[in-house]
Amino acid sequence: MKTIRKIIPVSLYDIPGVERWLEEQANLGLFPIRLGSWAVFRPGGVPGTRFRLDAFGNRMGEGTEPTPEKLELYRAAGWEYIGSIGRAYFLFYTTDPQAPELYTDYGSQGLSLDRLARQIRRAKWSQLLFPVVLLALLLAALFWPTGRYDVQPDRWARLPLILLHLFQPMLLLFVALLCYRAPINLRDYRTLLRIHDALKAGLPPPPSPGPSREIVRENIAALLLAPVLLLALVGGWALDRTVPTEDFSQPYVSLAGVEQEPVVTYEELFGESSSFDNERNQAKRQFSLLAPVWYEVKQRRYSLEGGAQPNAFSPDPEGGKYRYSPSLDMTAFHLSVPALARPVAKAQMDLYRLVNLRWAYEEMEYPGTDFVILARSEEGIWQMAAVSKGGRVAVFRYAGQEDLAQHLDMLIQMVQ
Amino acid sequence: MGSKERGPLTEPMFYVLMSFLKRDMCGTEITEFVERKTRGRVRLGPGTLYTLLAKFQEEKLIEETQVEGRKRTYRLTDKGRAAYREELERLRACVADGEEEEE
Repeated sequence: MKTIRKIIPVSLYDIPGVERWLEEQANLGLFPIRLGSWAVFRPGGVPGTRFRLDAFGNRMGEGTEPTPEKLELYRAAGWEYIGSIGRAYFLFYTTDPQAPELYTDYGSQGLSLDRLARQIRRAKWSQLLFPVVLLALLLAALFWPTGRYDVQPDRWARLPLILLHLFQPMLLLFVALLCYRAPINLRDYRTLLRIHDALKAGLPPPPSPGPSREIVRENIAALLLAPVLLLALVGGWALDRTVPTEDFSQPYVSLAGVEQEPVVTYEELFGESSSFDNERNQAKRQFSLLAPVWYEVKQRRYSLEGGAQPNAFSPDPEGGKYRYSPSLDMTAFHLSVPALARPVAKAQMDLYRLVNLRWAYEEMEYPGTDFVILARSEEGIWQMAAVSKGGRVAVFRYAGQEDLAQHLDMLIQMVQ
Repeated sequence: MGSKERGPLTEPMFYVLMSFLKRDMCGTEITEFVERKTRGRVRLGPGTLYTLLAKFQEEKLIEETQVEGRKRTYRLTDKGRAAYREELERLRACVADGEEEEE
């Protein structure tokens, strides 16, 4: 069957406008099959056909299809069902000029729109509240209490990292889309609520805004944006995926290279994998317009020898708590704004910081770098290091018996 | 829900409730009754009737008595009868006021 597709030039919230446009199409010989993102017609429209949109759910238990009772009543009055439009209306038509209108008084038509109007009022409030909630969440993330065990709290320290997250393309796209759609949605909501309020007051609906080029442009933009959003979503998912370190292609400092004593993975040591250990040997990429290269690599290794005395590096799952098992986490950034290097390094160090430990920070000069910051926890088990050159930053958190300061040549390779 | 919450009944509402006074009715019978009773002055569109039946059922002014295929039959509840009488009294008072003013 030959079909004709058309962009709908009327807002679907403009009920009389949609009905009139469909009637104009019928006068051109087109009959609607489906209305959604666009309208699909088949030839065979009869001039003079009347189309009416009837809101969903004006009866308890009525879902996305009209009840048999409704179909029977409407058919007896000369109205036939075509299909549903979105999750808002049923579309009926009649070619019988004698058939009574679906609604013979404004009040009952207003009643039939009650549920839709309630949904729209809720949507309108959500639309208005969303930016407020987003801002509140952002502030909450910033000021989220790290707990009473945080001995060196610094509320603002992580702000640069939040900034990096805010410049993720997916989030920017989402915000841009919200900013673009919000006034359109509010305009549409207003159109339907005005119709509802007038009908409920027993008055005729206000004049329909009718078709416009602006609405055609909006609907074309919506059609084009849908695949872009989908691609961005899939791309974002593929990029943000966590992968085992052995499958990760970006450079990172190998924990085995830092250790003087030979260390191996859990699997190499015991011949089987451990879900606990797998989580500790992963890499994850992120992307921000401010940090086009941004990834984290986590590693844990085990000594080949069982230890002779308890040590702090061994929450080790074999039950042999004496085995030495160091860990190294590293986050690397290639920043598009080099001036952010120091704040981002400090923010990542704050994120790596174990909050119940007191840390001593020391900045030192090292040839070939812009800055090197070393940090050591009070009891000396944990160490952190941040190195930077130009817009490149690498931040490390290490637990083990080595001294990171002795391995700076290896660490700064990450920013060369 | 009493009339204080709902306000006065509209003309279609009044006639739909009236249609149940003597017997149970289904949708098409109500349409015919109203048209006959008002000598064609009031015509009930199917959307109007369906919406009012749903509203009355929700407010427990009518209740379903029989489902036969696609046909559903309803009857007036005591609450519905009271709402009808209350509206009738209001209309009588309106008419009396009007007539008194014309004398």
